[in-house]
Amino acid sequence: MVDRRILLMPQMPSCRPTKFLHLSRRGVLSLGSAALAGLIVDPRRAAAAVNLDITQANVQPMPIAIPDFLGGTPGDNETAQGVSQIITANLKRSGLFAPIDPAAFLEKIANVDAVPRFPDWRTINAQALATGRVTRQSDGRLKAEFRLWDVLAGQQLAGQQYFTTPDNWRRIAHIISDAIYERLTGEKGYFDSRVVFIDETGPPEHRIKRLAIMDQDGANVRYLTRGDELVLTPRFSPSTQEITYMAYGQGDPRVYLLNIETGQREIVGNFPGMSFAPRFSPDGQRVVMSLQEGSNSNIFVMDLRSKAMTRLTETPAIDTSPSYSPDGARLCFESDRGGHPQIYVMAASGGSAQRISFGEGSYSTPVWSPRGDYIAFTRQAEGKFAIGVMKPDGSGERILTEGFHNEGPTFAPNGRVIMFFRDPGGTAGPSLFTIDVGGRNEQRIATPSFASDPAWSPLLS
Amino acid sequence: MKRSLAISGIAHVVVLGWGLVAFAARPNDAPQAEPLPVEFVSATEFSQLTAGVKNAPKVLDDAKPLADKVGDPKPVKQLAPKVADKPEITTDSAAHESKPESKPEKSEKQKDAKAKPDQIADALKKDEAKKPPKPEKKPPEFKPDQIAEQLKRDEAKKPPSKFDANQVAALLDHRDPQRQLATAETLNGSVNLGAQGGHAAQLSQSELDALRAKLISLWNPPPAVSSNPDQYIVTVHIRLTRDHRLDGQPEVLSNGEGPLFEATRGSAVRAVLQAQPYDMLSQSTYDLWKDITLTFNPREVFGG
Repeated sequence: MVDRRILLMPQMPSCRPTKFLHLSRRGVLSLGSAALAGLIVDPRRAAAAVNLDITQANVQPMPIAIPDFLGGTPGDNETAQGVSQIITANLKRSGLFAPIDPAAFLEKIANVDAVPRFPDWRTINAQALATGRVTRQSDGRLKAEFRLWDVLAGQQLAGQQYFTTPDNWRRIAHIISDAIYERLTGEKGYFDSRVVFIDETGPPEHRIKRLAIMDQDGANVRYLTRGDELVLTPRFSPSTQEITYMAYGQGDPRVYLLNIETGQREIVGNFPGMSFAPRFSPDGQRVVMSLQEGSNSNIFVMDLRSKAMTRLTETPAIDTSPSYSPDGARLCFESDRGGHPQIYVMAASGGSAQRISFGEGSYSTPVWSPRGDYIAFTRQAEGKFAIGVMKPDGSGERILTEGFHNEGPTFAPNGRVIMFFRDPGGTAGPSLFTIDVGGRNEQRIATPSFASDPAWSPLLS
Repeated sequence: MKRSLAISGIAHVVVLGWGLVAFAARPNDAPQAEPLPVEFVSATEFSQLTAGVKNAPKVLDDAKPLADKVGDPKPVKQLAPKVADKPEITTDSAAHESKPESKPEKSEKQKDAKAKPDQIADALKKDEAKKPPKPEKKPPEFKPDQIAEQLKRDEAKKPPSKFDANQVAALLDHRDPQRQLATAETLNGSVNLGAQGGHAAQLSQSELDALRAKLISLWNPPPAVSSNPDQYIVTVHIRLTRDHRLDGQPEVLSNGEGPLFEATRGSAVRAVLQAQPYDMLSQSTYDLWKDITLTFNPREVFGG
């Protein structure tokens, strides 16, 4: 639980004393004539103005200075520094910010409530400055506050106070990172989120696969299953702390629901044959999945409250990997009804489907962006696996990364970053990577061991 | 009768008057393009301006004979010791047969002088004595002074030069300009080059390009505008002082809502603030750049 309050901008030192005007009748007349002259002159001035269109730009990471946050008491210094370091790492990893080396700082921030010396920060080419303080309260809670400054304009852009339990200090850092990201980029952040994935240990022939969860930056890894069964395709609920996944226990693979807070697990329906590739609807009330029917599979949706099952496709083909559009009105899925696996889009209630992928090779694991603007996919062609995106009408396809084996894309909550897993082959195992939807800023996410099949949660707050 | 005539007359006048107004050919007002100052130079004038003049006085005064060193005779003595080292040849025939063809002519003659005299050698000696002591194959002696004197003589014969590169100023048109500005209480600072609007004067293209280039290098819009760039066009009005700095805060003229518009507006204002000083604009055109309106349009930034 995190409480939030807004921090107002501290009083700026007044640069000019306020002047009071004594207006005589003559003064009023002269002011009036000056205003009239201004009105007369203005059109000519406007005619003389230069009008210039700027249609190109120099898009690059924004230089930002993040000095160590201050500790309210000497005992809080370590936590305060940890918070500022996490913020620095988050913003740097996003690829949109270039944190400045603290060794270059000219001003040492001693008071968060004072206006910084902006010329000092302009000198080191900082465009934004984030200052903050972390204080342990008398009631045992942690108070974290930060201010974001526009160095060039000399203004405060944002200021917040947060109250939480001390063990939540990492989340506070992620929440502050999101606030800075949103204020400077205009988009929601994605740092206060988690990733569920398959942790893989042991030799390739006896690989132990466990369901695991971690913060989006790779910290706080927790294991959700013991590894005595094979688990695959975990997916986060968009609205609750639940995960759905497929597990091979005894018998056929089954789709399960797992509450990550309570550890409670339940099987989703009891069907003859395999059930696989589950995914939640945007409202979290339904789970769409594939059911085996002989040598084919079709897509079904189950209402989690009534447990009612509805068929969405009926084809003599393998239809699988369904994913909802963010408004819940449409579904994209993979089908080999045309010969090779390709991506199709249809209404969420079923009916006729429209093929949207027409490139070479086969397309699989489609996933709709939370923004609705792209569908990410895995494409297999000429012995290589690539991660790509296309618009929901199939246009604008572009490959973000290609190699021996890349698979399983999942979108960050803001739809700007995609996580996937890459297996280099040989004796090595898979690991997790992120890349932005423009195909830039590829980064490896550190995990305790091999990792695959990531699924990004929605924002926690 | 008179009354109906008057009514008819008035009606005709009204109809004809209305027709004159209604059917008058309206001028086809094409949008007035702002003219650029251009000066015409004909091909002949261009050739004359760029052509060199051979008898330009200064060039001739400074000219030095380039053939000085080429014409220096080489000292003959240098070859003599090598020839003297060779063994003496006793017979006439042997002397002729053993003479290497590739040896310089001078050394042959020295050998001949040491061998027994014969008639051909004597004849050669006589011829040689008449000639100046230098090898026949060397270039003829160059006498720069003679050439220079000849050129001076030629120059004296020619009429004086019509074009002197050092006196270009004298060729300029010193007549007073005849163009008259429109009368007004205050003179218009802008030069009217025929435009009806009277605001044809502009900053030079290089100044505008430099200003644009600087703002482009500093504008860093948020990438999220790429999905709908037309909604995030930001117009900023700035006033500049004579020392090329902002006079007050930039004034954002565009309206918009939401965090993405706020971020885009912030990026445009940061670019404008960071571009100070605007020293790419010259003092002489201050009246033209003291007010600038900048439109930051992200449509083409992300591959539009």
